[in-house]
Amino acid sequence: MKAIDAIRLRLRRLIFLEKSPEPGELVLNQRRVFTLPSKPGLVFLLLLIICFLTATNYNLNLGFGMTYLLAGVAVVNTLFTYRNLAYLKLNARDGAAVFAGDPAEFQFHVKNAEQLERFAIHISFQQSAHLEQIIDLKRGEETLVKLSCMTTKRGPLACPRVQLQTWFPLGLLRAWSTWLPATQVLVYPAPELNSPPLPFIGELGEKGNANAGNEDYAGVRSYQAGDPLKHLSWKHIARVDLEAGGNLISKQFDGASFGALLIDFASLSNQLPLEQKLSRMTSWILEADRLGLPYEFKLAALHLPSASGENHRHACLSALAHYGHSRIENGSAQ
Amino acid sequence: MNYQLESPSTLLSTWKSKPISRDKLDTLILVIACFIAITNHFSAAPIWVCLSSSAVMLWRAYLTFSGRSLPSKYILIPVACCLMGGIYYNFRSFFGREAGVSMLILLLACKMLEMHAKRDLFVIVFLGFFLILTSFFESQSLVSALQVSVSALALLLAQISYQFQTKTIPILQRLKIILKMIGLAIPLTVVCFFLFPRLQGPLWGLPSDANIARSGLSDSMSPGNISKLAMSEELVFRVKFLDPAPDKSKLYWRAIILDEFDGRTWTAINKLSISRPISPQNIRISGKGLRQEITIEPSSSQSLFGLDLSPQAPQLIEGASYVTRNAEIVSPFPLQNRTRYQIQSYPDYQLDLNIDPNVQRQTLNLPRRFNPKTAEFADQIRAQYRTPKEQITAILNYFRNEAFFYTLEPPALGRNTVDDFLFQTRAGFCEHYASSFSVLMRYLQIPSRVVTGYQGGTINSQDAYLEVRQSDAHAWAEVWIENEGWIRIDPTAAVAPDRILKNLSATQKSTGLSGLVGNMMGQNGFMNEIRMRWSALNNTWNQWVLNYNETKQNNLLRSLGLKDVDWQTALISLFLIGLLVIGVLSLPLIRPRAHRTPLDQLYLKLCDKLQKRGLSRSPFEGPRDYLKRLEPQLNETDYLIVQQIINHYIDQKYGRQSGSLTTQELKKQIRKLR
Repeated sequence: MKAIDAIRLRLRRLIFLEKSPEPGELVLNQRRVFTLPSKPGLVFLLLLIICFLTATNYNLNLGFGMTYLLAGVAVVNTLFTYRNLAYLKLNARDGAAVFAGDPAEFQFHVKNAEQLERFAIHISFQQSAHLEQIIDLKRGEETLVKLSCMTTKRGPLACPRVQLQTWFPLGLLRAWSTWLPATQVLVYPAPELNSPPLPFIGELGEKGNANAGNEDYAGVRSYQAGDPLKHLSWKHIARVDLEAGGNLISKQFDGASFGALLIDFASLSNQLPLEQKLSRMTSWILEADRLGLPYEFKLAALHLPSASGENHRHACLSALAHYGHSRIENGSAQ
Repeated sequence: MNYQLESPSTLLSTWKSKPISRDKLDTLILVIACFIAITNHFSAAPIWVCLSSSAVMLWRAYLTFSGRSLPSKYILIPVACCLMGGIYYNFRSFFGREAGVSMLILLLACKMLEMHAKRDLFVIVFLGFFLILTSFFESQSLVSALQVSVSALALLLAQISYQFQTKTIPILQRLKIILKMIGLAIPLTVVCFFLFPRLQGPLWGLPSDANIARSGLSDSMSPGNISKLAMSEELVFRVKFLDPAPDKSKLYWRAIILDEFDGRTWTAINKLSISRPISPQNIRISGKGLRQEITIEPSSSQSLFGLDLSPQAPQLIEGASYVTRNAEIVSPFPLQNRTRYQIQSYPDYQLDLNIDPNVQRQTLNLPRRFNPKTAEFADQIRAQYRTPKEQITAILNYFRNEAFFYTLEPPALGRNTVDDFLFQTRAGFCEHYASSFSVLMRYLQIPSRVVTGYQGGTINSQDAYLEVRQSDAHAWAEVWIENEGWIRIDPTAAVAPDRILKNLSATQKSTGLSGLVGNMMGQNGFMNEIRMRWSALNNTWNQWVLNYNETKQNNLLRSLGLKDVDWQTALISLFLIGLLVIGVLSLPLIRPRAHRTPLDQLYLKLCDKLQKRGLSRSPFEGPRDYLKRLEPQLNETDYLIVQQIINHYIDQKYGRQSGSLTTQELKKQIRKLR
């Protein structure tokens, strides 16, 4: 069985050019567009045969004429269907990172550079053909198509094989082409639900208090550079007389004074499975980011000093996503 | 609502003013297309079928417009059953051509009410296509061809309408796409029509009612029969003369003898199927025989043909035929396939020198209380002339000298058909002349009978075959004379010698044109001109479209220089040629093997080797970057080899030409890498 599957895969690659990922722009040239009769097309063929036999049996010359006209239309339909798909220009770009379990969105630019209006082109991932987008393209029009697929595992997710197909104009024939863009979406680990409180240095022994302390509201002070925006106390700001200087006020929490926050892989118990550890670290990063607290990050050889902000968050999360995957391996994976 | 449906122009304007939803529009187009397809059958199908199918269509259109759901199967099944019951009540059968067509009409109408998936659309459209094909059973005229083209266009429009997915495309644009496709398909159609191999039909036994529309000689003759045949250009048989062909005026193909007259209709007293074979001593032949090879087109008739007179019946493939007592040649079964046989005729013959008294009584028999004037006229002739021969000449002279006209559209005759014809209307067709002549003969106590068959034919300039068509159908008389037997007398020749010497169409220059348009035209010159043009157009249509068949196809191929095409070898060679052409065309598709310098080959070989270790080069990576990336991943010795090769490659390719190593040596180095 395995051998047959392998041969079938081999043949598919040979015939349908289903090869490794293709970077850059793709033009659907003659060799890439395939056509086969659809089910109605086969029935239509049967109809033609019946018409031919009827015309022969009853010696209906006009019957022959009509049969040949319909057959001619079917032949022309082949050309039209092929032309409806051929020579489209396709471009893809990397999608935004998502967390495992969320849908990953890939974006494609489809451009009709020909002097020809195209209708009813179905675009989907080959693996989930029912979730398709149908587009029409005017002369020279370019459209952005977004397809998403569900993610399950962390790590870089290569774009699945994209399938473009059309039955236009008569529905008797399916023209299709497939494309494996060399783009990917980075999938962060899924954040752990109900994760333990944030790991503050020095408070490791008193986890229960740490959490309470973190949330304790301690008062306000005038805004100083470095205070997280999330801690601005809008109520106070609104009350302050603007003529007196219009100072911003930020809230102070007791927890914030508990010292630095260190998210360290090594500090987690060895009892935990690897993925859960990564998930926990993810949810800590998210929580710290939400609270605007700077955090230090340690994962195996990687050590990121304490910082906050979008870039830091991404650096940490992508390190988690890639953990255990070699980057080079990912690059060449299909 | 109904008012809107009936006039498409109002519909169009409503669409413009208030756009209706796409689904409704598409369904409406489908309903209209199917309705047009059904209207093709309105002239032939039973009225109740037309009415009920139209009603179902209207119902469907109403449901579409009002946005209601389709009827449930509890309503649909009783309706369908009622309609099927109607079919059975009407035709007493579900099979046969007419019942089948009516079934199809109702099926299409009912299917409109049962549309749930896209698949149903295709079912409806394909049914529609077949339905309009069946309308050719009734008529294949130019007008019906146009009608069917419109139907096919409408169905294709409906089909394409359902293929648009996202937005509503204006109908004109859809029409444009369809017309473009049809325009491209037409050359293909023409080529296929003329060159696609034709099979010899019928392929299976035709249902019993398949031949209702088919014309042919029948075993009875009343005024009007043959003139109907004269309208048909359908081929009856072809003749190849193996001896020198006789004069056209001698080409009489005897088919059926009619010897019983009831005052209006001539019938054969012995139906062909039960008539007795002739005994050989009743025929005396002299002179040289004339051999012919005859190919009869398929029909439901049992008559075989041969020039007057053929004493020996031909041997057919399916069985023996025989010559009847009246010297007709008969096959024991209907000739439903094209049949070819050889036959020998003797123009000098004597038939029934000793007439059977029964036959004599039969051929003198006349109905009582008919045609008194004719009887009087016969008495006058008998008073003037003694011998039968003189009497015959006198009557032929009467036809020739009095104001008799030959026309395909004679005025209607009253109860005494022969009286009316001889003394009042004096305008008629061969059957009138043969009939009245025979009646006169019987009044003169000369045994006589009417012979129907074909006269003349046209020599095909392509293959020198003589083609005999239904329009060559003819009727003449035979009289029995002491010591001479039955002799052929053609009274029509006395009136219209052209009919015998040339062709039917020669006598029909200004009258007797068929067709819807022809009848509407008046008599003035301009209209006449148009009528002639219309007739010529119809004739061309008949010649090129309707009468095109296997034989003409062979003629066409022969004139193109292809003799005796054997379709089997033709198909095989076409297939092989096609294969070759496609093969040549596909050569550019095979990926050319890029021509590489030995240096590049070397480098790529190295890359391959490294790829096997999982260290493949990225497409964007240059050799230097690649080397740099490889450094931490390779062990010392391997790295040194790789470095040596890559540096050599860089030197040779991009700059300093002085390589200290040859390619051969480097290849050996690569082999060292495991």
